[in-house]
Amino acid sequence: MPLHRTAQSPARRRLLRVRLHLGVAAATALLASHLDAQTQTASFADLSIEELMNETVTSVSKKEQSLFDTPAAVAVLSNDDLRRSGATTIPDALRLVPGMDVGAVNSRESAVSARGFNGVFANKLLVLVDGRAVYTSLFGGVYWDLEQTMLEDVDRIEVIRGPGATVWGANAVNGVINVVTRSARDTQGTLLYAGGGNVHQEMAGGRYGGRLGENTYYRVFAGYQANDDTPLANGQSANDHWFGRQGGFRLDHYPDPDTHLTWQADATDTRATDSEGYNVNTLGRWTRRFSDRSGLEVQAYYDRLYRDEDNRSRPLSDTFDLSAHHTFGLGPRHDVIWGVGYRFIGNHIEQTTPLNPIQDGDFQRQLFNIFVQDEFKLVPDRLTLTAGLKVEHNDYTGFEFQPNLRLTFKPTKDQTLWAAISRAVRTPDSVDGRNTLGVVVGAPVVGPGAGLYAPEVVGNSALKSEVLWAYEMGYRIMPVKRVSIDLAVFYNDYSDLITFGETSTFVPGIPVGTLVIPWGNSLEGQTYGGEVAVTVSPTESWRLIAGYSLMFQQIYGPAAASRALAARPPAQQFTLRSAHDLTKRANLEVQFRYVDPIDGVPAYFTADIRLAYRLTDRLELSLVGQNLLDDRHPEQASAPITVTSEVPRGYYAKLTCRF
Amino acid sequence: MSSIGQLSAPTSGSPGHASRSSRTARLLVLALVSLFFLPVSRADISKEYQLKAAFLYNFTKFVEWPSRCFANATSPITISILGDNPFAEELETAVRGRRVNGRPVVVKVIDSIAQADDAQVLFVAAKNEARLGGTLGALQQTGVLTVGESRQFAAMGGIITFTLQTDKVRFQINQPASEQAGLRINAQLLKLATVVHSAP
Repeated sequence: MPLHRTAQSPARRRLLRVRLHLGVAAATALLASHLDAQTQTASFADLSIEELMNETVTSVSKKEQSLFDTPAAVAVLSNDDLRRSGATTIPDALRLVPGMDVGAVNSRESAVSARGFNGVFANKLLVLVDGRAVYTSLFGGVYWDLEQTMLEDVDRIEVIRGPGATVWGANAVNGVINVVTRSARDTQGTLLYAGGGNVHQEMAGGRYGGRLGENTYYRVFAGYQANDDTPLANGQSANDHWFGRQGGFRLDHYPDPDTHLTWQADATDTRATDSEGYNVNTLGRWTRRFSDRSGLEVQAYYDRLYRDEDNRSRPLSDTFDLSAHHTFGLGPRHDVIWGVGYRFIGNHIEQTTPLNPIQDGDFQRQLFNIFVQDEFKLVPDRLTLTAGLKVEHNDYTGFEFQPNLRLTFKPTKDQTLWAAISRAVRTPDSVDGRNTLGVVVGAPVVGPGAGLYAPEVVGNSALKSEVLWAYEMGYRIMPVKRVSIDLAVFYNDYSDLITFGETSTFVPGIPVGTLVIPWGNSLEGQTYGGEVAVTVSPTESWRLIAGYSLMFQQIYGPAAASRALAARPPAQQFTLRSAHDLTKRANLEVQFRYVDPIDGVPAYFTADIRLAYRLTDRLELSLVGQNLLDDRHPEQASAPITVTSEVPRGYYAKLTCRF
Repeated sequence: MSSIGQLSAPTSGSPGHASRSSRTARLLVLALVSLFFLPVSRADISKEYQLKAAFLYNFTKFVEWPSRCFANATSPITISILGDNPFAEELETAVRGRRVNGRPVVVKVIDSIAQADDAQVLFVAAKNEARLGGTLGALQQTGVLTVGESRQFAAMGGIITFTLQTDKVRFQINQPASEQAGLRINAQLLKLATVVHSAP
């Protein structure tokens, strides 16, 4: 029990801290998840039939195997991980994944990235919910407060650190987050929850899953949350309280064992004093399996996004997306996947503040893509080579090529070595890539003729995409049955990074002129580092996961070019999770997180704890404490047109009923 | 464990300027941590059979036996397991101390189905099916909930048959067979099952 022994001795504590600062030379990432099922076996008899039907029999090791053999830095948060964590939002849940960089910006907004380039406007992480991109090309990022998917019905969150562009497409530069909800077949019955506390003041919701005939299942769901103000650095309230609501349905039809049809739709809204918005979307998917090695999937969705933000603008964006992919075996050694996709986005943006003057707010975008990837078993069960290429066309930069080459070597069944080289691009968004709007980035300055000029960053249609060449390696090993270690290292070489500030012109005006600063491909740089995660299950009912990540960043460019979008990442991050079934009815999760300083924000160390007790077979009570180790701390540096506040200590209690 | 020791360092490291209440909170957390990190051990059997054991126990909540199947109102619900079995012990642990409708649940391992006529539930694992000799015989009329896991078992007229769909446990219920045995199966359970209507 190194944990509580070291905790008692300050001297030892300091020593270990020094050791940590020396750094474990390589770095972090792990297989976050899957021993979890093991810890649960003790309480199967307490589960309802519906819950038992949701459990997978795939022995933990087998399921882990596919993750274990993946030639990428990948981790999966299971439904069980999410439930145990006490996280109420997807960004908070992502803090569990070693190597992810998550920081709260204010009560409502989060900065989420992997391997650097984080911030409220982080633009190199692609996020999908049930196959629908929630990364918006409007400003290149995610409105996290509109992602209120009921975590109880999320099957898993897949996290890929590093580029995933060959399969997922542009903007999957530093990582991909894939939120996958459960089939309606696996969410039968009623679930109700209600709770509240000091930070997450109110939360309530429910789901009902039923059946429409022999092979058709449905669920309807709705949820609500209200969150309190958070404090500013000076202790004053940021007045950033907000509430959000979501409702929707999902229909799953299985006409035969090899065919699966899904139709789902949901609506979400978010309301704060200075910002509101909604999202409505509907998605249909048809999946057909022809054999163990071949299948076809066709998917279409429509998505409408609306925001009205006092200190930004009022965009309305409609997206239609159609995609298909086909897998097949070619001889005994080749497995091929190929696919095509088309996306249309119509945008209309209105001005809400002179800080974001609208120039041309009505425009459309179209995207086409085609990709193919071959998995070639060079030596069956030993050596596999994966080669793929995605060709994508967008209106701003034309054709983009995103290839990757990955090699997996399995010296033994319990070890995997992998290496990968990939190219990925971040395409210009509607703010930097065209004359949509300006962003006033500071107070007026004195210019020619002693006049005043407001510095305004404006779009540049001559921009090229940001390019990443990523070189990655990883090693996974299960030295003994109850231990697994996952290590990944990377060297990322970026060019044509988009920023502003390099050249500018003074345009006189009355009363204030404009200092016009175009966006430009002004910076280049390298990041390197790694992540390591160690999972230990001392017993069937207890699992420990430790994660450590280390990274360095060098950015080059003209001195005048702003580094705001390429801020220094935390050099080190550390997480420790303990998931423990105390008895058949009670479980406890404890998490510790340490994050090194970033520019303008000191290091912080904090802990979350969740204790859950099953009062009856149907009713569970959970008590959660979040960010317990200080009264409040900041996690993100201030950014333009954004309120940045601090994260206070939080508590909440929640009752969950399933029947 | 040495790597864990090393990595756990920052969890106990102090970030320098800690307020009084944060120190209290930290102590609280550490106290909880040390209290609860006491290992609990458990036998190793495959998860599939752990789940099936839990299903068996759960089924008893949704089945109504004719009163003649019990000696009195508090006599136990007996789950018989045919042959040496991967999970009899697990099931026993799972049901220990539990009651269903006021009846205790007991687990019994039997060698032949002749010993099953006083049971309320009989489970036959696929590997022990040979002991049936191809028929459930008289059990089909005597109020025993027969549970198996193979197509042959279903064809013999078994009432509940486990199936695997991708990697999840599902089950089908032969409704005519349950009626013939004099059992009433709750509609809630039928809703979750694939119901088959082939007469036994």
